[in-house]
Amino acid sequence: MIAYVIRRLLIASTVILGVSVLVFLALHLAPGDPVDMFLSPEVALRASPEQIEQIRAQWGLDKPLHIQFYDFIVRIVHLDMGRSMRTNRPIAADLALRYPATLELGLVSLLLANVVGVVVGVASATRRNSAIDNTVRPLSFVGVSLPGFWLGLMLMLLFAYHLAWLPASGRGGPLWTSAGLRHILLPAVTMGMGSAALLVRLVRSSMLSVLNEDYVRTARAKGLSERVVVYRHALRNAMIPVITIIGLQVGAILGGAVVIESVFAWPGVGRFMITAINGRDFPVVQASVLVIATTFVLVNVAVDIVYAVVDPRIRYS
Amino acid sequence: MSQDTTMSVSRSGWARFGVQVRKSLPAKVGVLILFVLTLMILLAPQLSTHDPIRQHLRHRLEPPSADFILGTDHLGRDIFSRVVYGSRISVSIGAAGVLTGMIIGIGLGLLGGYYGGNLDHAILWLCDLLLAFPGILLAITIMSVLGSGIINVVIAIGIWSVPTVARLTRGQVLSLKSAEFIDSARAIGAGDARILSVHLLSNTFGVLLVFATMRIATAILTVAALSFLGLGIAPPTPEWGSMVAIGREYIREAPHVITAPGIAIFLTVMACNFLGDTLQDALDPRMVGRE
Amino acid sequence: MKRNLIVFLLALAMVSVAACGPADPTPAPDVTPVTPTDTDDGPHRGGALRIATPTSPVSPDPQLEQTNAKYASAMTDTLMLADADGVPQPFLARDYEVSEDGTVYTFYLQEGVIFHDGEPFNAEAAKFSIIRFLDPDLATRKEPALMKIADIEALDTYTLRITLDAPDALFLQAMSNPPLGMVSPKAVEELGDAFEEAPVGLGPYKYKSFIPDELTVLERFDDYWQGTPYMDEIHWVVIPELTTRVMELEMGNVDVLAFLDARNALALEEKGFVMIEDLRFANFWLAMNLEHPLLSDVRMRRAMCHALDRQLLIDEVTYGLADPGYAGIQPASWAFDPTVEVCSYDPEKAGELLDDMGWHLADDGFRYNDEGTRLHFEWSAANRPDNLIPTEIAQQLFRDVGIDSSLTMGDHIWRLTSARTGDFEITMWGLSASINPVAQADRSHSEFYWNPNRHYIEEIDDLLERVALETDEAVIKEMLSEFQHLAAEHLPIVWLYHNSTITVLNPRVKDLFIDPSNYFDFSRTWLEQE
Repeated sequence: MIAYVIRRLLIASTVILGVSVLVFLALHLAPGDPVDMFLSPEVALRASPEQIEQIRAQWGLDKPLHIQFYDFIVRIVHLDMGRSMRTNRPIAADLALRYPATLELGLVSLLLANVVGVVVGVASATRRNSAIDNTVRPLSFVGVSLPGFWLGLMLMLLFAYHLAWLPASGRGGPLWTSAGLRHILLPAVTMGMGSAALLVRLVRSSMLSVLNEDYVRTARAKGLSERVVVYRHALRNAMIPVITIIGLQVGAILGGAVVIESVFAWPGVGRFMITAINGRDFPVVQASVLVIATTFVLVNVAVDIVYAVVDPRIRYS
Repeated sequence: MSQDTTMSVSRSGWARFGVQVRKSLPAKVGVLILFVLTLMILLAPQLSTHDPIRQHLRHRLEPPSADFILGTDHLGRDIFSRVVYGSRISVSIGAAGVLTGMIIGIGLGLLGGYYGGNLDHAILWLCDLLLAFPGILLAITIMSVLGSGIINVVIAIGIWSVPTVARLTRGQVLSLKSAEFIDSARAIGAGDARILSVHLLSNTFGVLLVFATMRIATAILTVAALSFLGLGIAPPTPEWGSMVAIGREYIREAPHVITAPGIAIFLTVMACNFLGDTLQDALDPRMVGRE
Repeated sequence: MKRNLIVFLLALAMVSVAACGPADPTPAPDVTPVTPTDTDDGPHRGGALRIATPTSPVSPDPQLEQTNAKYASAMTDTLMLADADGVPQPFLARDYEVSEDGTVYTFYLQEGVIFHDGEPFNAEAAKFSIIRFLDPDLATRKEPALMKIADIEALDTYTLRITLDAPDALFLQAMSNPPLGMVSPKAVEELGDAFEEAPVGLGPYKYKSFIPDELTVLERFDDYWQGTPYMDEIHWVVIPELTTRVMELEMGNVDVLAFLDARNALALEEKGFVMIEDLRFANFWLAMNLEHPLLSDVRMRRAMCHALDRQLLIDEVTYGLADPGYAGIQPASWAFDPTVEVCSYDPEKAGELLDDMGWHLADDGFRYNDEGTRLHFEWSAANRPDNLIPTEIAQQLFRDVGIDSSLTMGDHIWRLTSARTGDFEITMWGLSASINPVAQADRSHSEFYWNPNRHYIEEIDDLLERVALETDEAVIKEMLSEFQHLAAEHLPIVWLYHNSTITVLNPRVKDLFIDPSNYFDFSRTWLEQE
């Protein structure tokens, strides 16, 4: 088991290294030269080629590509994320402000999605073909069929603008305060909608198949109450496939952050990264992608390990 | 003998699919939507009432009327005609992107699954690498390099689909490799290429079809998200995602601008999901849609 | 370095579920109660002004201010200050003298002014601030006029002498730009690079906190030399999405929207918000790559110019809130020459010119030459509505005269790079302008920025270099008139319109003054209490 975990982590670290290479290449291939951000007409009414060379030298952009990459790796190994080319601020400090915001939003939307997904999915499965089931099934498709930014703007229009129940944008403060909770609700619901819909369908179908298994029938035959049967026996087993898609959900949430954080002015990593991409702020893009990809890869490794522990049928070889 | 086995697998799958469609309301709705969509794609010039890129600036942001059935956008273009023509662009971007991804992905999956060894490891690692970009991040990265444009979006969707297809194919190949009919095919002297293409692929087809159907849906949503970020398709091309992305600026005073293309996306994506789900139930009731 | 990561990890652990101070969510809690001395109709103390902007400043350092967030004027003051007409008037310099040859400026400074850290403001501090601003390593917005500074001397405690290499009509203008505000020499010396993250000026509001892309907070400076300001704080909140910004203003969570588009501004005005339009001086123009073989022919540029309906663009893009462009000087400027004839909207004339060049209309509505090549250009458009919409309209106007064009879309930096390298055919640029006509005319110099129009017209360059040396207004006007005639003749640039920068306020914001260059004066601003 330990050997398996170590192997998975080793592969994961090579994958993350690969991601760094890929992003590094992508940035240098992308049209648009970062030096032009320094010398935009808003700043430089007269600009000279010498200034360009000076900026290139200052940020090491004049060196050959492989040297630049080597420097980048050396910095990462020395636990130094460098400074933003745009703001000249240390990236680690800025990420330390933003990563928790994205983490918070992600966890809340994950929680919402899972609670809604499991509760509604179980209700739908145990009352198959009832009114609930017949309403939930089509609705679960609606949740995954809308562009996220549209859903976000519509929710904002309804709950913030027209009803004035919730604030429209920004991060309100720590999660345990009422301002914090009120601010996170709309972006979290927008972000979690797709996952919730997927979970409802998954929980429903796996519940249905578990409810037909022999041991559940046996439990019923023994005269256990339906509630005990459902929650003690069936749900536990139905949750196994649910665990497997947590990795997928985390991916959807981290990816969705890029859009949702812009709509709701949520100060997270996704927005940080998009601003950096638009400004060709190479060190910031590299650092943010590194953080996002590492989070995602580690979650997936963790999910696989949990899965291997929970489901003894899996051979970890 | 082996031919019969594979044929019967898919034949019964299709039969089950037919039964499922007749049984389930969502599936029927899905088929109906796709039928209408197909008509729209084929008959776009006949259905549309205006030139989809012609601006009528004196009529901008007009609500639906007799002349402009679904109203006009911020440059006075007829939204109905744009939605109708947009079906061609949006669906073909989704389909072409996913198809590209399928071709490369299936190739890699077959190679890795069938030959195993270091080649398999390398392919798996490549898939892990591409999958390490969560959600639309990979598409964003690719679009930043390539720039906006239809072909580039197709490439981005394609690359983004490769790892999932490759893994699905590989998994199927591994589980089928030891199956009896492959051994018998080899016994009667079938070569690697033939075994790969005919036997393995035909058995993997169902799973991949489910994936493709659902991925087209995701692709259409992804193009919309890319447009939101300014990385999608440049106007005046009538593409649903960019219509929704631009229309969001008018969401309050002229909601019809975003509503029509939004509903088009919504219905198409839903139809793909309905059908994908039904197909999945029909072909392999136990399969879990894992990305 | 290592410390960064440790900070990062620490913060991660501490803030696992959010503890760092984000934006104050509730609409401006009034910390200071209304003092009894305040009358009902006079200025009230207290409250926080909330300004929403689409993008973030890169640093709170006023000298590093770029044009996307105007906070420098709140944090510090300049020696000169532009009045309501944009003319520089004495400010921190209570008076000034210019030598006869226009190269030596003597400034007599205000006495008793102190910086936010309590340090006194004097000639040495002014000298220090200007030298810091001119440091080539500091990414400040250096007007060309400042490059002529040869020497800065503190003659005594409150007298500063600046000597220029050559006279410059724009020098005082450049001295009044808020980024060239005073900074505390002691703070700069003590903090070094960290000054950029915690700047010290002498304006009505002092630095409190800054989180890039999220929030900048300034607080009241009680010892401000012009008198204690009224509000407790000013917040700049970054909200990238336009619809979200507008909704927040309507809901009362934000008081000021800066850099708003005309459509939303007019709609908000109808709902009772206050719209402030600065002068129509901003530039929006069609850049044609003069190195392109077809575009190097002035007839082609003229045909394009005749094909473009400026009034249509003004009506559709700026909802009428712009003046048409002529020959590089804004109609609102005193140097504008109304006698200059610039190709007006005339599709027929455009057709004639194109026919003349051998591009004839075919049945498909497009023009072809004898070899059967279709007349086609490629637009480089920004992926933002304010650039896409006029480009799309122009695309249709070109199509109406038979010019085919396709549109490639990309982000701002891609467009900047292609302007520098000349890798484009036609594109539209929008850029803020100077209220001073000499600085405005300089936008037509081939050395302006990276020459985004790729033109080298010696006559124009010569004239512009000569006019920069003049200080007599009558002479300048005459020379600029000649410039406008030359620009109309050679047509290196098609000036489309000059729009204004629009700010929309909640009516509870009182006495917020915005100068013609869109700088905010917060020194007397106060908020009406609920």
